[in-house]
Amino acid sequence: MHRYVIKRLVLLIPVMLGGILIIFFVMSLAKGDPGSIILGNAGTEETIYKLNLSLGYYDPFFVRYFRYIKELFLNFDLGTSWKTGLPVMAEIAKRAPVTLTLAFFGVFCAAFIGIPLGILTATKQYTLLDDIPTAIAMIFAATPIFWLGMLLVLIFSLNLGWLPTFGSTSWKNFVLPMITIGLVYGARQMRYTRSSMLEAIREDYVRTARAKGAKEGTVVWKHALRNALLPVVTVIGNEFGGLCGGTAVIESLFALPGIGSYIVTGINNRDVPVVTGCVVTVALLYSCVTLIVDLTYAFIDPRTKAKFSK
Amino acid sequence: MKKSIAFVLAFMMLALVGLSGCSGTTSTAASAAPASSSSAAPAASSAAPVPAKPTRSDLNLAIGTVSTLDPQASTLANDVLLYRQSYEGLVSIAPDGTPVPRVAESWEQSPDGLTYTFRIRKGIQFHNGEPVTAADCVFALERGQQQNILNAYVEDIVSISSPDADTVVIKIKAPNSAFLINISQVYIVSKKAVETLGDGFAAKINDAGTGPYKVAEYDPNVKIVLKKFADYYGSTGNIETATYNVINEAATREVAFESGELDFIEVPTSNWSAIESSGKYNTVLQETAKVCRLCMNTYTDNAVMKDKAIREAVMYAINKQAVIDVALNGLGVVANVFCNPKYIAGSSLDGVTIYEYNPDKAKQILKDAGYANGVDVGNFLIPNKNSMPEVAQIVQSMLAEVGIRTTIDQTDSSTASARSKTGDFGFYMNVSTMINHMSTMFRGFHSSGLATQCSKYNSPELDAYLVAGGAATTVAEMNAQYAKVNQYVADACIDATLYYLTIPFAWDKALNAKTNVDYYYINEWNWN
Repeated sequence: MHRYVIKRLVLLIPVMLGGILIIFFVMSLAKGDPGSIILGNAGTEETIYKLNLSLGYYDPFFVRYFRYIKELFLNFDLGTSWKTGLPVMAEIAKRAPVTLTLAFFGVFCAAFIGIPLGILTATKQYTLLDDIPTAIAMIFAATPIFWLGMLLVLIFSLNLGWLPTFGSTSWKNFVLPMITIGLVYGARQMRYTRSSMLEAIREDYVRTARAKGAKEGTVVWKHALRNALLPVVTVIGNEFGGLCGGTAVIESLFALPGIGSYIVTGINNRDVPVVTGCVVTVALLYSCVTLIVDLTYAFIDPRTKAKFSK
Repeated sequence: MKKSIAFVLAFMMLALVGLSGCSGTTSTAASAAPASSSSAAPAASSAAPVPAKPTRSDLNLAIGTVSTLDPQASTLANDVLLYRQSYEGLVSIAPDGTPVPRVAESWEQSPDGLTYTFRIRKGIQFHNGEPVTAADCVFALERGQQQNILNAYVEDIVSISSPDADTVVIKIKAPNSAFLINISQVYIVSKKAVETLGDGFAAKINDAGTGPYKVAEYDPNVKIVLKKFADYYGSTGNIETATYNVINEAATREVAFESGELDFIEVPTSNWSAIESSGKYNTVLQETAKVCRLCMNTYTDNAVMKDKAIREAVMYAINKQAVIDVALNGLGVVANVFCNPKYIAGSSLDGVTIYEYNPDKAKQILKDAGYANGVDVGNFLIPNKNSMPEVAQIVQSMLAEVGIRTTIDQTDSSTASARSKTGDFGFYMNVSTMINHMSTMFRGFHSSGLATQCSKYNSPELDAYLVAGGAATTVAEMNAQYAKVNQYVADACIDATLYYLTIPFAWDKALNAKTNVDYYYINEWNWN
């Protein structure tokens, strides 16, 4: 088990190096230089050139790449933003908790809605208890998240006045974003749980369990669900990983200062250090989440655990 | 069994249609009349005026992400909005372009225009309670000279000195009619405060300014709280605390405004008519000096618009008012010169050729120049912001009508800006912000800056006018020289200007707010 974890952690290094290489390459294709961006209208040709030179903008691609890698691994430095001049690492460290909180509670809310409904629809297949949630889930799964968020704000903040429309200082600020993510992602999780449960219910071991006279509840919860959860856990993990960098829309809608809105601002400003730094962070988070998901398999499924210990 | 799911789905769809219909009405009802439930309270309180005592003393505003509190380290619009409340330069510039005394109480210009003597205001204090001395001003101005971002404003300064504790003398290389406007961009900061905070000056709350409000709380991603500075020398309103909430999304700002969480916003164009017609808010359409410019490529090898006839035809082919009405919902004012004469010192329409919309004349000009079958001018480069896509489509069709063909080439603004300098376009259109002085034209049209320009129109005659306007020592002389600049640019058909942007603002009925061409000052505001 330990060897497996260490192996996976070591594998993170080439993944990160490759990720940085790709993002570096893509960003180098984009036009625009730091001098013109920093100085804006105040820049003359000469001052822009000098600034670019001092930032090493004219160095060859691989020189910049290895300098970046060196700074990252030796000093944990992701450079400074071209637009604001602030260190990217400090900014990400400040914003990461917001995004992680949002992603965690969003996914939690989604699982809270999706998994029980998935089980319900699978056990009551082809009844109204199946059809109605399934139909609702189809609609939510197809709803644009921005639109749903806006609609919830209009209802709960503007018309009912229960919750604030923006900010990140109190728990109340996280309720609507969490529900928005929960509804959209919960709909997907419900559909995964349902199909996975339907498959499990038809397995031989479930029939055996029923044949030996186990109660229906025990059959569903102990025999079917535990086997059906594996693919669902994968989906939850992927969603969480994806949300670590992908809550930009929610963040800008609810004015939450997270990594997603930072990356979008960075892209709009052609702020290469910001974009690169964010992508590196998100890649790292995603890799870690994937690792954690793989480890959770061991707890759910003894067969996987047996494989790890080999 | 499949039937039942189809039935449920069909039912849900019907419900959704009904719901979206409802939500449509709720949202328009919300934007038109949100007071029915939540914002009834502020409306009610404003309906019952309490004469002597203001309804409130706090103010909630929205701002984009702020990058630094060092007022000499940024010229980004969001940051400057904040600096205007907390810091002051020796002078500031009024909306009509004239200088207003701030830290300096008065100033004199030597007859040769090379020396400016500023008298520091008596009794003026920094937020830390210390008096502002000439030594502080010298320190601040010299610090400004070290900042890359302020380079354009201070590059012609030869020396800064303080003969006595109340006087600052600045000598410049050559007469410069924009000097006071340039120096207004350099904020005066306390030497002691800057040196105490050291490297932390940019990111920590400081008491280095002299403005009417001081920063009390600072979280650049969440909110910035300003408190009234009790010892401010000038007049202040009854707003004690102003909170800038960091909200980047316009739609969120609008909902927050309607729910009463914000007191003042810039209204998204698409919602302007609903906000205005609701009658629930004070509203204003603020004309600005932001100008939409259509740059024509005359300098690359295959540029057909080297031929002035085509450029002239372009001028006549565009119905500017129609562009404003259709693409901007009427939120613009027709522009015939780059610098809005209303706000920019030195700019005027005197003797400027005005090209009224006349498609027949445009066609005739093209025909006479040998383009009876029309002409292809290449790509129409635009950044994907500021309504540029909508404007470009309309301009494209107007041009097509007279026979000028172009293909829209839309990209993000940084890429568009970079490509505009390399000549990788036929037309390039963008909205630019002009500072309040005609010297802003120097950067855009003088041959010394060709590399960073999109027009790259190299004309010794225009250069001479620009230099003469900049070197003028009297206002009359400056106006005369700059009038020639506007005339020359129009006659030579270097680029077209379409409109000056109008920005809609809305604020609480009980608030007396005042907007400006570029920035507002909270100390001029009051609660009723």
